[in-house]
Amino acid sequence: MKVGYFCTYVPEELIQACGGQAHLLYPKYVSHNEATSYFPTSFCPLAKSLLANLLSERWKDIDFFIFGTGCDAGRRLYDVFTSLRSKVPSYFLEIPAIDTDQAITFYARNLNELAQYLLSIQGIPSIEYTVNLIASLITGYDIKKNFTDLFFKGKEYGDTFIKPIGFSDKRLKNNPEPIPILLIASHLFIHRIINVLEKRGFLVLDNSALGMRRYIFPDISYTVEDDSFMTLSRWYLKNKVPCPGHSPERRLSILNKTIFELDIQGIIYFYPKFCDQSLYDIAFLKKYLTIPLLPIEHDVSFSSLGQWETRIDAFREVLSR
Amino acid sequence: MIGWKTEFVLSTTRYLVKRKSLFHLLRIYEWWLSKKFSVPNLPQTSYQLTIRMIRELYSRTRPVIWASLFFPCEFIHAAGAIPFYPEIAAGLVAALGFPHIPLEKAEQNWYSQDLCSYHRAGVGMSLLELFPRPDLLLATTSICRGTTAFFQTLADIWKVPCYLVDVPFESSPEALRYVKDQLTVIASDIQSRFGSRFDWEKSFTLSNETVRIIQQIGELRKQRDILLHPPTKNLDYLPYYFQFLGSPSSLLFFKKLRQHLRESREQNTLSHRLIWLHLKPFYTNRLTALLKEYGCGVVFDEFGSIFWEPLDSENPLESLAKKICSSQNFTIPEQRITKILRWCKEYQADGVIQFNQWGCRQSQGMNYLLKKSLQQKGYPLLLLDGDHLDKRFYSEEQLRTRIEAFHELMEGL
Amino acid sequence: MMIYAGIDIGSQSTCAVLLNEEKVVSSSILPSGVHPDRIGNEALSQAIEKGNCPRSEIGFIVATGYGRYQVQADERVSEITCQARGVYWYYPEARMILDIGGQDSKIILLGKNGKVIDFMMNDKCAAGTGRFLELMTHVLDIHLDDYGRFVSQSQESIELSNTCAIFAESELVSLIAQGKKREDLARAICRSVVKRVLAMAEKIGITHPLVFTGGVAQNKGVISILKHELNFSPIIPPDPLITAALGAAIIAREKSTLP
Repeated sequence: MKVGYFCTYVPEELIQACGGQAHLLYPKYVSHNEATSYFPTSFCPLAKSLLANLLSERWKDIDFFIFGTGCDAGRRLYDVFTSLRSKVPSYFLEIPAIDTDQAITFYARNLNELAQYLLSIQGIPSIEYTVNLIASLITGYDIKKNFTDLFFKGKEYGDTFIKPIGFSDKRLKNNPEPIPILLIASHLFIHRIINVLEKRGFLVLDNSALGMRRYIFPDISYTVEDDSFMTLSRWYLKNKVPCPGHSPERRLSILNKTIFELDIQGIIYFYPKFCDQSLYDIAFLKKYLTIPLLPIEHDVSFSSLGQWETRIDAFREVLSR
Repeated sequence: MIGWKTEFVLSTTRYLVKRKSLFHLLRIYEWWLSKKFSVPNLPQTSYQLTIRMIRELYSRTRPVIWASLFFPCEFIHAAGAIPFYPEIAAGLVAALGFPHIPLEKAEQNWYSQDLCSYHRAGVGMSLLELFPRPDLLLATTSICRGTTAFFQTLADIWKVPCYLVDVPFESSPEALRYVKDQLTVIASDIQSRFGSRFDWEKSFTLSNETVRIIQQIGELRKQRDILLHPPTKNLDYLPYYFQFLGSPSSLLFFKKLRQHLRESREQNTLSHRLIWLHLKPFYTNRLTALLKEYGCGVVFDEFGSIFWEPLDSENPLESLAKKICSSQNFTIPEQRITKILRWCKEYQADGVIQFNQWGCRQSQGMNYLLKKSLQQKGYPLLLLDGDHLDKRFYSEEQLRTRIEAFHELMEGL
Repeated sequence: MMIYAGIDIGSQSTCAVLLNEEKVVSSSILPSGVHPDRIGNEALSQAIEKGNCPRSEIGFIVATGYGRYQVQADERVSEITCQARGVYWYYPEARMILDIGGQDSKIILLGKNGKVIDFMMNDKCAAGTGRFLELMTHVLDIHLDDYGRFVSQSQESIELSNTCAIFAESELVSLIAQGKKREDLARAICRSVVKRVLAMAEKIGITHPLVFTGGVAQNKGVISILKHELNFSPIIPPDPLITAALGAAIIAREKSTLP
């Protein structure tokens, strides 16, 4: 069963343990005509793009969609999509906005419910799932730890979070002295941007939600005695690098650690227009970070590429020693 | 940029608001008002209550707790603290005519114009140190996630603790218990932090009694010859619905409002009876004049509705958790639409009107579903675009055109 | 003697500056049109002709502006950095640049050696650009040059509350219908542009000495309002349109001496 999702708080480990194939949905840009009937002008372009893609049946081979409650636009995406395509199997996963002990317990319960639902529609008994999840968590932990180690040795950058095959020497040859920067952008829109930035002489270290999901901050350990749902819940709410809108202080602390460890010179922040989480995040980071931050607004399209290039070039010139 | 005159006024005001003792002098003014208006009418009552609120907030005789709109004020009153709702206060700033000052201040500090102006103004007034300093911040995640980020920002500006109550959208015993457990932690912290002893009985009794009167007012407004003037006036009373509920102020005010309505009967009935959704632009504008010009009156307001059951002082935290969870029916489409349709029927409404708030994603994102459902049931919906606090987005001609067209639609022209 | 060239291909005008080891040799300005490669070369040719120097003496060319990748050059540098260098040439004490062009506006914060520390741009919205001034001339039925005169004759302070050019136009029409004077409306328009740009500058922090560049730096009305809002006088270069091209030429000179 193919399970599609786009919010990085949806645990792919759970989907896999339930016998599903997890598919992270990347919307292809469409002119927003398809979504403009349903959403207003001042609305997240990612949500509009996802809706347009969903309605175009581009993902018609996906059997089941999971929507998360991470933001208002994402929630409305679920509401509008399910009203237009009520027969398409969809699930609304409640994701806590906080990471207290009560929230972790509640999220664990929500994940359990999701798992039960996924199992029941496939006719898979629960006991199989529990064993699978434990195995998935142990393996996942090792992968994440390994990735974290490589990241902090500067060996994971560029688009390796999309293609996990390590870095490429070719890129380094083209840019003999690239400037290391952290790229903050929605994982849904990051593909071509890395390319644009690398051509402009930057060594791009990814801080997107997707990339950051591979890291462990701080370290956790998993033991067989622990409840696997609680572990998964804690992993995503407490140990995953928080997305904008979640735990600002912890997010800042992690960013500062990354900046220090990897000698980051600047941050380029690609944010979707009308994304409240990003807008508050930028104001907060501008206040507290000690390295330059360049915010660049986008609407999922590349129509403003020329304007971006001016800013990116100027930023590189500012950072050049 | 702020001119030197404005900067001088701001600095002076900032100096004065920190002088707690000065606000004690307001007691003299309050005493004088009570003598001059021994039997105050509705506006006089409201004015006196507002002066008292300002005195209490800035003289700081008790802890000042800021809360988001849907965090129940009964909780704060029961704790013996003074509630302050920055989103409501931002509306007052707009009504007083200077929202551009805090909005510009927020924008200078990188809070984008695309963010909700209620929150931006709250940030700006905090950066300017003109709002009363909080001792604690309480917010719920219900209705919108913008509020969450807003309160996280306030916590950073004021350097005080902030509790975010995470509110699920599902309606279940587990969700209720989750919210109740969070309130338990907050209550415990308030007790130890401020030495408070919660008087649930008093706060809940006052709230429940006030709600009964509000419901009576709601019944009165169903009568065709009883109207609140001007249209949208009820939204000026927002503090009494959200901030004073659970205190004697709210009870007193709504008794006056009930009396006022009972004593005023319209000679002519309205051409068009409208249900008003969401809030409204609080700066000086011609919206109500335009509505009156086209014979439109507001017979019921979404934000003046009672959405919870009577509070139970035997199970206070569970009761308040239920109130908080119920507030999600403002944002869950099926529940909100069901309510609106019920009001349309009960109030014999001809149409529904909403002034969209630029920056409010959750409400604007629902407009398609709202319009579709209302139209299916035969109720026209007028959506006006603009901003509730930021006058830079106001266009009278655009408003006129739309209201005129809506009027013609309802007339069947 | 080696000559270094800087070409600034902007959205409204294209400018070329030739520099030798000691001074500016010549400059030229042309309207941009739709073919940046052609106009860039044309501007360069004109500057060469004016400077009476053979093309073969041009050692290094730096292009800047939005069309910098469409024209032949040895290197491309953003107009932010070029503007900073050009201003530094004239005013080494400058700490901030306010540049209002036909279709965009920029704020640049400078360090002691003329290096860019921070910057902000508005190239998405007509408000706060020369375009806004131009659009409103049609409503008021005046010329761009009239702003200076009208602002000096204005007696009533009017606030244009809308920043969106389309809304502001509508607001202006209502104010005219109310009988407001053209002088006062002209002042309101200039003030709207200045406030918009200064709101951007406040995010970085306004500092002085501040240099005002770009096409709008020739608008006396805007200059007057800017002085009033800043509470100090901005510095206006003798030719505010060529500073970016000059900066590009300076960078060309620097780059050509690098090993």
